[in-house]
Amino acid sequence: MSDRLPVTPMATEPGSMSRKSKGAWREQRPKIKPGDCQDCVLCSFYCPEGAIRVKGGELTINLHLCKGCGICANECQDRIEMVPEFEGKRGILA
Amino acid sequence: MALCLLNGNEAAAEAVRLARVEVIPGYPITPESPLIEKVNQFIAGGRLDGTFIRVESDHSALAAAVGAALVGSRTFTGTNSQGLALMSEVVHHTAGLRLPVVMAVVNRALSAPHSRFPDHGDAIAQESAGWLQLYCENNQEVLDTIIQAFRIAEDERVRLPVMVNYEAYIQTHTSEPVHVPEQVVVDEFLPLRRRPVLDVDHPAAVNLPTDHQYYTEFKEQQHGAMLASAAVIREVALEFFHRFGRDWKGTTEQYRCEDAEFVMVTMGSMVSTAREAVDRMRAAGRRIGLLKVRSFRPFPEDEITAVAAGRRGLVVIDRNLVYGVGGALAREVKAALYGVASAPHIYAFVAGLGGRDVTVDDMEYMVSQVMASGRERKGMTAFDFYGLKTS
Repeated sequence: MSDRLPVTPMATEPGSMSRKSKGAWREQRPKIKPGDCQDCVLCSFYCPEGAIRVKGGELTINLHLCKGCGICANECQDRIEMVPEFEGKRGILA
Repeated sequence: MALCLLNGNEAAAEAVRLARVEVIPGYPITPESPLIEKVNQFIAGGRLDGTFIRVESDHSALAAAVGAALVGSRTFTGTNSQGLALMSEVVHHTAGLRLPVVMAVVNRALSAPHSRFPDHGDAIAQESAGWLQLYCENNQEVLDTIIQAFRIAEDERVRLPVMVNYEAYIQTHTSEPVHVPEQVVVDEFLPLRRRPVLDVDHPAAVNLPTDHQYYTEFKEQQHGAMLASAAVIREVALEFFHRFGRDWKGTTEQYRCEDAEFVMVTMGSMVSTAREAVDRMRAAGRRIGLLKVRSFRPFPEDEITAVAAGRRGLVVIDRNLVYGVGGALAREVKAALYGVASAPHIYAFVAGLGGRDVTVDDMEYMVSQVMASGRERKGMTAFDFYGLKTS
């Protein structure tokens, strides 16, 4: 094992974390609301995971990368709202 | 080589200059401050081509040192007591990232109650942080050990940070004759081996989240490096002796242990006092020796068991207290001798806390008590507070 691990704990390939899904971390997910987009791109700028793309008023969210933090919905209440990840019947734990 | 009258802080600063340290972050704390002041005088006077970084706390001082070491700079800082406690988070980072930072730790008692005076409690509290811990008995050893520490820390087999310990006031503010070596000799002994972890041409993310898949394996590597460092400490001490003529032995030193019935075991400034005590007791015909523990981490288990063989007793004197247990050195000595057939009795004393003086007379008295009583208080937590006031 030692010959495969670096001495200093590090990732030498930038962006390699983007291949790891953060989807399972979510308790809530961003949902796109209908309406006009100002193309201000703030949702995309503030997204810590780079999960949001905005082009010509067209919003796409990569749920493989989104961890459900809700920062995008805080920045743009007009177009994004957070909804519970779990939408099924509630039981003892949820 | 010049013979100068230097206190411990000045001796440490001379070593920093001679080691051509490139980055020195520092935050002032008594009684370590004069060390950083002296280093700054060297920089201001053009005698050290280094960068001093002013920071807002000891935590930030070590964080800045981590950054400098990550890009391959030779890096040094110093602190004591509360400052070391505040640094603690980054103390662990430095070792986990395997960075060869050298730090002078001026041993000062931890609060509360507040004290500015010496004991080893501050460094002992960091015993499991993954740093090597070397303890110096006099100011010459402070200078020599800091120079050696860079060689040890930067060795490919080690790549771990090193604390060089010396005591508040007893060493920081007491002047002694110290040989200051020539720059050219130190340069030959200590070439700069630059090993940057971060490099703008090859971007990387350090200290990334590591889950249960690899955390154990990283820790095993770190542990292996700590174990391997013992041989490196001895090698470096031997090469230092050949170049500079001063022999600090390595991880331990035996003093007059031949045919000794009882061996005192201690570290730091108490070692130099114990040498006098041994000489005096030897002159009175008592068979007493001394084991100096220079390296508390890595702990020299094999040398403890070797020196213990055939003795009647070991008298371990600690200038620190692990609450509910006793002295850390005694605890380790007892653990080293666990299961060893015919291991000697171990008599443990906690002495000199918060700067209470431990004199040659005191040590002679401790050994006399042990020899007179002959009884062993068994168990890991058995020890005596030496000189405890009872009224």
